[in-house]
Amino acid sequence: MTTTVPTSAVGRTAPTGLRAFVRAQPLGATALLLITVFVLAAVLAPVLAPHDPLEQFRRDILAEPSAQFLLGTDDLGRDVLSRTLYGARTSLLIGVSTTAVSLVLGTAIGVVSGYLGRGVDVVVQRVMDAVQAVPGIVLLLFIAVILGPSARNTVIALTVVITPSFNRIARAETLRIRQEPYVEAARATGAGLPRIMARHVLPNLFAPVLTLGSLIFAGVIIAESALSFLGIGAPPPTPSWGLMLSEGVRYVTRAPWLIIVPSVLLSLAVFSFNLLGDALRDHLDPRLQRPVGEASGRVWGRKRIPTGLAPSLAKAAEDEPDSR
Amino acid sequence: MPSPPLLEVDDLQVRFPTPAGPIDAVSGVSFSVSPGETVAVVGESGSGKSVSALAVLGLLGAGRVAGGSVRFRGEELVGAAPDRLRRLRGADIAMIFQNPMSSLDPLFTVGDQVAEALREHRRTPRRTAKARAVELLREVGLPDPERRVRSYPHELSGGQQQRVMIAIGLACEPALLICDEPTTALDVTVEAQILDLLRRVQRDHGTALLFITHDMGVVSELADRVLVMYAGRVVEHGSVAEVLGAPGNPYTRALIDSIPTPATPRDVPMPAIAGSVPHASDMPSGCRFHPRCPRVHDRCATEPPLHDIGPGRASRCWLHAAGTAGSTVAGVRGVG
Repeated sequence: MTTTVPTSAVGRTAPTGLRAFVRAQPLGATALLLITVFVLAAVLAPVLAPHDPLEQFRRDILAEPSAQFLLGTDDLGRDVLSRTLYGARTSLLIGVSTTAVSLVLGTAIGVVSGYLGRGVDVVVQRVMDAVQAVPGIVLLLFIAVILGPSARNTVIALTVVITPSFNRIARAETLRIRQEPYVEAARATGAGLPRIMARHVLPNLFAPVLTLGSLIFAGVIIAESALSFLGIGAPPPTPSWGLMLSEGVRYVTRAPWLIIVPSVLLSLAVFSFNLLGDALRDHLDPRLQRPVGEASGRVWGRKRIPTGLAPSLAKAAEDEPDSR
Repeated sequence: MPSPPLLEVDDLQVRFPTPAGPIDAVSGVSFSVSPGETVAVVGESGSGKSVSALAVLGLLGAGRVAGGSVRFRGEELVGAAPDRLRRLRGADIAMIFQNPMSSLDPLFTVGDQVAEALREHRRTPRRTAKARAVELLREVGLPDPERRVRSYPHELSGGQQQRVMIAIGLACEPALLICDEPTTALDVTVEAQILDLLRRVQRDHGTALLFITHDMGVVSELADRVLVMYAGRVVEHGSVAEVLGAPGNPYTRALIDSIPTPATPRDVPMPAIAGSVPHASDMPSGCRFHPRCPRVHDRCATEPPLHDIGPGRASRCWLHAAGTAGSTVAGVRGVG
């Protein structure tokens, strides 16, 4: 018996990277596009913004959207569009950097703690428990008050609060993965601790950590707005979406655009990051591959098999009698 | 055995901590494997077969070797430096496991995983390792290895996955390959192919096999010598022809009688050993098999030693003791 798998089904090299991702994950690609737009808007805010975000047009307080103020003005007569563009800087910067730093930190702590176990694990996890035992907002207030209000200190405060969440997930996954037969098999082939961590533990806990990351990102942006609202986040008048939201709430009946604009963008940003997180998770798992195109043999490469046909085809190539 | 043994396990005792105190999963187990030889270890689930094998590699996890010795090419492995053991594993002693699907990392191509062993032990450059992986996959009979080398584990059938595991095991040409029920998760036809493959590998490379199984059919097909384990102890060992042909121990006899044959009557219950293997925390006193033994008698209240009942052959039963008639279990000669 020779293999019955059509050549197209398995094992050809194919484009990897962005192109493959766009083809396999249209939703994720859309999310990526949106995020790119947000980032560009933030970076190019000085170019794109029609007005200075801090400039007050005293005669146009709470002005409706018009040709001069495309998205209206706020209670101090500041241009909402300009503030939104500049606000993207603060919100995205704080959201992305906090999520990224606590993801890396929390995962590292969780993996090491979970894999080494015993004393190290007990000590590390009790410290994490202690951090999590304090209500998040109290801890945030405490750190923010000590460090003083600034965007950087907001990131530090939020990182301290969020890191234990990543630690939990990473540790739990590590405890599961270290029991997996493939880790035992790797040990039986003489793989040492660093190799097992890098090759087997980390890649296999990537999916849940990434998913948590996309959820946490939303929480961070919202937490940042809460901190700004309490006057200990990025200090006013620095524009941030959260700050705009909390200020705009007071005028919701007279000037609804004040909260519609930042909340729609906030929702879109959060939604995009969630979609991107999901798409990345699916994309990086060879078991969850979609039909289009061809396959590559790289670790993070794509392997695609016609859906539905895939299992039957692959298994159809049953074991051949020994060819000697 | 004419040549000095490759692996010598002597009076091995493996202890696991439990909330109720330490228990011995394996005690007083001794055996040896000579170069190029196939030794099968049989027994029911929970008899300590796998634990003994893992102890050889120092992969016990929570358990530890509480006594005895494991010597590989004369080198003591019990208490050896972890790094020394790590360098032996995969390079000189390789192991393949029961469930090939979960023993392969789902995120990496099979080629990657075969190459990993080479890169770990031989510092083989990436390209060379890839090429060698293709060769190894061809050797274990994976069809179209140039293409399959880039397949992920889930794209292969169980038999193909086990072939990949064997390729990983063979990557560094180990002197000893430990197979922990490598065919239990596979279809019978695939099982036959895998056994064929192992036989061929052994012939071509002179690899010694330590083969753990609960299938007497596999033992008779593959092994030179067999070790029968029950409840953490060796109850009988000897050449396959002798042990299967004329079992000395009532337990071995009962195992062989449990194999259904076309002649097994259909209208009566299948022959089986009543009860199950006692848990290590609740070991019966005396002979560990006596609660289930059809030939239990007064002396079974104390544990019997291994009695030599022939050249290279021993059985743990009072029936062989002086004053007891017959050196094999009376009335049950003849092949099962």
